[in-house]
Amino acid sequence: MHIETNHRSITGQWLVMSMVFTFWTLAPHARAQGEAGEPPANARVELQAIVLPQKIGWPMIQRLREPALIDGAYAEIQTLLLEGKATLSAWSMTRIGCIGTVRGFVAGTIDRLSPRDYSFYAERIPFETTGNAPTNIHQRPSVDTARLHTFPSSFEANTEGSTLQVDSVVSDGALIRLLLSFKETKAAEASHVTIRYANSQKGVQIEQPRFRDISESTTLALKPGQRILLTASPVSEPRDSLEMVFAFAAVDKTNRLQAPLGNEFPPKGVRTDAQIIFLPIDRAISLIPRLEDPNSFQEAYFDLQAMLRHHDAELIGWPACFSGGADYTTSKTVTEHQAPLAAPEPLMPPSSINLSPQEAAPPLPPPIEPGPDICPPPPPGFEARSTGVTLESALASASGSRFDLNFNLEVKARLGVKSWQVAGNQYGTKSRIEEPEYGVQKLVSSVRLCGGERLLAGVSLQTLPKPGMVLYLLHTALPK
Amino acid sequence: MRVLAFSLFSMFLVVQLSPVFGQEPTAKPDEDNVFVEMQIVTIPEKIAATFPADLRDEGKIDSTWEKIQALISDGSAKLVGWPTLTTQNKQKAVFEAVNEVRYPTAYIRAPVETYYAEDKEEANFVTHLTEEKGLFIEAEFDAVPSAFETKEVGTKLEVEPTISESEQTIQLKITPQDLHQSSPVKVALAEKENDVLVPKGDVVVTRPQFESTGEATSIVIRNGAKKLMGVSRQADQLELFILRAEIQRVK
Repeated sequence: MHIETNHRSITGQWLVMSMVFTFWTLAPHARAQGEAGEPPANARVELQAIVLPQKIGWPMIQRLREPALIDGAYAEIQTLLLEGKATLSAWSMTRIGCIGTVRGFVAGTIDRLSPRDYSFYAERIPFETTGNAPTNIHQRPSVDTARLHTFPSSFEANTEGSTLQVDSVVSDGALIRLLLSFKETKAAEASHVTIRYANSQKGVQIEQPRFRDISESTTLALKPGQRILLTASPVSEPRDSLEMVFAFAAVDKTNRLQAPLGNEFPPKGVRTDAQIIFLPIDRAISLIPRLEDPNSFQEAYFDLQAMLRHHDAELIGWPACFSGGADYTTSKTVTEHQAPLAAPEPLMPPSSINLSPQEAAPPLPPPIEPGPDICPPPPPGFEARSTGVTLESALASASGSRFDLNFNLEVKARLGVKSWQVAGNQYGTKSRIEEPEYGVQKLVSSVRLCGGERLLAGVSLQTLPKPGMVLYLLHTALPK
Repeated sequence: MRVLAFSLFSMFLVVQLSPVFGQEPTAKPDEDNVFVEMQIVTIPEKIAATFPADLRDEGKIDSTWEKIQALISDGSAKLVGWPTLTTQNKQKAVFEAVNEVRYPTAYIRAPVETYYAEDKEEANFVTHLTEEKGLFIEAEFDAVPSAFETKEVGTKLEVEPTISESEQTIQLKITPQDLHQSSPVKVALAEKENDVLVPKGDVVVTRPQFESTGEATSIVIRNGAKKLMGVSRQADQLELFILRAEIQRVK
């Protein structure tokens, strides 16, 4: 009996020990299950398009297709970018809340006008005669003595650059499902159409713009932190090149979001500000991954602020606004200026006519003494264009210490002018049409945040006036 | 002892099986991605003469594919297009890589009247002179373009994959398209004479030529397999359209 009792007590001890061991062993699984089961706050969706020579890119394809090898090969491509052997064609990143059908949109584009239709006129070149008029047919003036000029008579707007749109992200922490579309438009080398004089090989050329598009719309499932080669496409400019588009997705762990003390929860409002910073590509390649990683964000952020102080980076804008509810509040710092409308028609010299096919030949004016035969083209009108920085934000919902913020960031800038030659005159001066070009950097998204949190909300590539990356650093603060 | 052994055994079972029970049983097809690529390659016919037959032979397709990859790598073959798509099961995806080409679609024969001489006597020798135009010479310009059209040249691919229950095959609703410019042609413009169009040999314009290949089909392909979708011949080159599709497990 005593032994039995002892036996029972020993058995009981083992049972207690086994239970403790079991719980201890299972605890990591349970923790992992809990983390995986808890939905993450935001997903980071990134697309990078890189053009590199086929002879370099082609041998890398197999490694880029292997999930275990892609990160190594991708790192090599980043080195090629820094060495100038590859070119960055697009790089777009947006953070977006993993809450289903919200839209994340990031774009770096240029509005560019290019000639659509042309008008023609002939410049008078007086035939020089000495004495009597020539009677021999061989002495007749060649038709080449009338010089044909072309000028653009109407323009069309094209949008160059890259856009990334994410229409839905759902993630349970172990898998990210996303619906994305990506488009990149680049100006290619212009083609030319030759207009020849009758019975002559001579002629004039008009320029026709060409554009190259790469686009893809798809639905993907990715593991957090997974990078894939979305597409690789041969391109002819530069010759025999390959354009590779990489997609990457990761999620932010919710346990990273620490609620600050002393605030009222759920918050009644939130103050949002956004640092919009331009960074040269070589610096961006090393800094952006550090800013994207929550573990290295703080240090990278301080480095970025130091770059701003030393003028190695440029602050484009720093808008801020307070949102107290679901209605958008706006902060705008814009300059409005007048831009000439497209397609001014040069004034015709009296000795020529407009060959525009829609117009019947006008009655010819009487001859006049030679003089400046082209008048500078006055613009037919002006339109108001605004440039500057806009931030719109709205507090979509709040729960506990976390809230969902909808925001819209936009930077419009005048990049310069594109000059189109209209014609020359006998004094050698040239008339030109100047059409302004505008660049738009845009980030629209919805993210889940805690007050006081700062994060890299998006990046996009800028090509003009100088190549580099535009970074959007979002920061929120709750009223005390 | 039996109780002790039983408790140890049960503990062992719980520890070993807990991760298994904790995980989802297996990845469902709906959670997998499907990778689809279509390589469009032009190869000199003298090199590629046997390739179409070899690519239709299941025993030779993989080795022929490797040969083609080597030819692209050393520059003997040209990769014309390479639409690739990664999409989820039963989800449609679209890829486009196109160039916009603009070209004239209509021409006018454009007379340009230019002031030439001060008086009619001086200008009398000019051939194109008319009574009304008196003091003006008429210079003619061939084929002044009066209207333009824009065409998208390049490759497009639309795919909607469905993974079979066995996950051994993939059904693909697929629409590949390839439109490219070939050598331009010179065309003599015609003029109306007595209501009849008569070619006018000295007015010649250069016209772009486009070649298009495309189909809309539904096929079943083994997971990871390749398939020759089409062959076309251009001058001394063979253009091959080779499809490959595979399931990419995510979990």
